[in-house]
Amino acid sequence: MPPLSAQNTTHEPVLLDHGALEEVRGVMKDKFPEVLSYFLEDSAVYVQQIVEGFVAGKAEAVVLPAHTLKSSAKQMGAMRLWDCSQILEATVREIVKGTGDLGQIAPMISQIQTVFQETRNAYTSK
Amino acid sequence: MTNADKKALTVMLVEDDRTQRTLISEIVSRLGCTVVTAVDGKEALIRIAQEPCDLVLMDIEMPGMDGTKTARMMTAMAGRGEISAIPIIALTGSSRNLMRENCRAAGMEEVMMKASTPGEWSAALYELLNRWFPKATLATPHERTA
Repeated sequence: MPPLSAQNTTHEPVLLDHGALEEVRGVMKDKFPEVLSYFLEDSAVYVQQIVEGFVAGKAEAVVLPAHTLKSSAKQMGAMRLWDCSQILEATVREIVKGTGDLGQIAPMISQIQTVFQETRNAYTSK
Repeated sequence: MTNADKKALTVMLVEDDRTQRTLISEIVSRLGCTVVTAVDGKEALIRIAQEPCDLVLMDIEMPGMDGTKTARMMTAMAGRGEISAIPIIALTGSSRNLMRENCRAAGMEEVMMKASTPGEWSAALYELLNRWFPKATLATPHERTA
């Protein structure tokens, strides 16, 4: 069960899990701003790669950026971004295996772009 | 055992993502280990031949040469006597059983989930290092958070 700080009443994960974020801050100490800037810069690249893979009709090109985004988002407490990424990754893996078509991820592509913007705003407004 | 018998471990971390590489490096450093990093499989194979390590932490899903292939090549290098045999721990964000089977088939000793929190991750790695390297100098939980 996720920590209470990672839940809300609609069962959609919160944007940021502040408990997880504080744990990372505690480990990184004065290097925290550096790791946060890496996360925001590289997540923007992964989202772009996801969009480009989708536009090019290449499901396999979406898998790795979605996977990496999933892992780093979880570690940085970006729970809604993690949730979107894991659903996207699982879906495109099935598409790569021949189950479903790429068109079904169109709403997920739109959502992950929006959630990333919201996540970035939430970090930078703190 | 005296302190003179103890030694600090050198750990190679192979991870393409900067965020995770930076965070995991810090966690491993806080355990008292020296960390050598590589950003992909090719760099890992070059560095492992140049810098002796006690342990490799290997990301599995990387662009280009993935962790499974890199581990197989390290195992082959050790088999030819080009490097010492080094335990490899797979780091993965996937809980799929097939992934675990592939990691073990590639010669990796353990699989650790990357999605754990830093505290959980540090505790799991400490327990494993303590078991595998009883003579190693490792930081206590108190020292890790100082």
